[in-house]
Amino acid sequence: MDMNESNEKGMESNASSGAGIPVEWQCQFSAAYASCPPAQQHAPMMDSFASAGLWASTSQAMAFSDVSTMSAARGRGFLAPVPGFLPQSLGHFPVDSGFIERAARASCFGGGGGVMGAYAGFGAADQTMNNAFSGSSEALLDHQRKNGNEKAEPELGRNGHDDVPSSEVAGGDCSSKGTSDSKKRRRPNEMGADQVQSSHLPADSANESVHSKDKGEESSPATTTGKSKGKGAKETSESQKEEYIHVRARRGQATNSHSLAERLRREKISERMKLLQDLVPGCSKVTGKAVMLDEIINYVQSLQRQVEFLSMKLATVNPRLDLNIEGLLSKDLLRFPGVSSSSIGFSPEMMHPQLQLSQPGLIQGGAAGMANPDVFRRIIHAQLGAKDGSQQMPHALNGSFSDVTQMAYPSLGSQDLSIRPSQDGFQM
Amino acid sequence: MLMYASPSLSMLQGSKQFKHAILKNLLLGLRKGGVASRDMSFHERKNAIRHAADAALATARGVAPCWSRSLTAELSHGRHLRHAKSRPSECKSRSKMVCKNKILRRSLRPRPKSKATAKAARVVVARTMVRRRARALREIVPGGRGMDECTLLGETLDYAVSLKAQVDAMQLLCYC
Repeated sequence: MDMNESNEKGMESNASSGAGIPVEWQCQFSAAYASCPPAQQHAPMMDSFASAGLWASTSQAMAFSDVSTMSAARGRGFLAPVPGFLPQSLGHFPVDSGFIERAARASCFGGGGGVMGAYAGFGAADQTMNNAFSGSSEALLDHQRKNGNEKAEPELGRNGHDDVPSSEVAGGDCSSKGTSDSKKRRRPNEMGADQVQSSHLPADSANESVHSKDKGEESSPATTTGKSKGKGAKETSESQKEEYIHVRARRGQATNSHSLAERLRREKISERMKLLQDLVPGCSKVTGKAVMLDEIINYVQSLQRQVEFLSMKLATVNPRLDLNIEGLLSKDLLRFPGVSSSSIGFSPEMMHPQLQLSQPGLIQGGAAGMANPDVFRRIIHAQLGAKDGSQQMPHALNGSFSDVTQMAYPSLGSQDLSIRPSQDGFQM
Repeated sequence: MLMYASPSLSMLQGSKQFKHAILKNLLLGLRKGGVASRDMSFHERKNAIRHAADAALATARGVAPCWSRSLTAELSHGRHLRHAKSRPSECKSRSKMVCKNKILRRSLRPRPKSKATAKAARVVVARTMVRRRARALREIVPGGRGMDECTLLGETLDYAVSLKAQVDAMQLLCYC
């Protein structure tokens, strides 16, 4: 009962703070986009993090109250209410801030109406996922090129439908159909949105009909459009229409086909390096490929080591394992990741400090820690003290979670969203 | 590849379902592998769990990315081989890289390849360093052998995000 009340209070306060964040982003977008009510923005995000059954309601308040009642009933719920607004904060926890901004720009982030229904579907077919990923990847790279504010709205409608049914990861082969669809849908909106680009559009529409043969070449029309818009394009002498990507040479650059291809390749590589830079925590200041690759290698190796240690830990936990497997397979945990996995971003972060408290021997650190867990660590230290044994940890978490969330959110809401959400990989 | 650029984004968005899938596959795989019931040594059990976790990750991710297919192939055919070489290759690749970089820098400093300027030498050194790291990355990412740098980076991105999801899913299993 107390938990329930405090949860609701926490949720209300957090809802307001959570509402502020997407509103900020929406301010970046055009007014048309911002016309989507913020409440609707929240709901799809919540749906993305919870199982479909739980978050059926569209209104925030209803969802929160549902969650709180269910959580009270289950006794694990303090995790559950968290996700309500966590999608704002947590949705970005696993994601780096750069990703958040790009996602916001690319409007891949569950905005718009159609998203909510789409979230209900789990495990879509590979084909849809392929299309969605190719489309969304298109969008992502495009928006990285331009300040895709104008395109946010059209992207929103499209990506919302595309991404959500395919929330399962299966970025398939980049079907040209998917990408050309996305391009075609995007271009008309572009034309309406930006007059400056109108001069480049004829070339772009010519590019629309191009079916790239080369792998990963779909980005080039968009990328070169973006570049040429900024730099003032010169006509290229790229060959036939049907089979090659039209590339625009930048002003003052060689139009040799070799150097163009090389430039394309370099641009692709730098695109991916940027994305990787956002993924790997603590790499925003790193410049240069070699150091960046070093960091990437370190990160992947540390993740692999984490898997090793976790499997070792699971091996030691064995007596509970058979109970776990049978029980979890049949019921709760498989639903809980739907519910509490919305706090997956949150709970591992909560647990990591405790891990450090109680099982230092098992943990090997990766790279630097994050700014955020310090908050959590302090809070948890204050609340719980050091506890050993994995048995106690969930209970400890249970008891203090409401307090923790209430304390944590003010800091989350203000600035920590922009700080390394994806650094939790290094907490261990 | 393009698609790997944003799957990290959409994967993280839909990461709950992804982790859910990993967890479910892991539990099924553990049960199937008889981890709980049989009497195994500690190492056998640990290897079985890791095997099940990797299989769960690969099946949850699907067959789209190259690393996923390579991982499945490794697991089904070369399981013992892979585990044998994973540890030494990690340590070796990094130390080899460091040594070779030092040697390379020493040898390159007095004699830049085709031009006399120091800047050219620096460029060559930088390129070589990048190449060595790309080689190390290829050994880490499953299936990285046959890729050019561009796809390798895309695969790495995808693989890193998936690994992160796997770690989170296993932690869920571990601590509840």
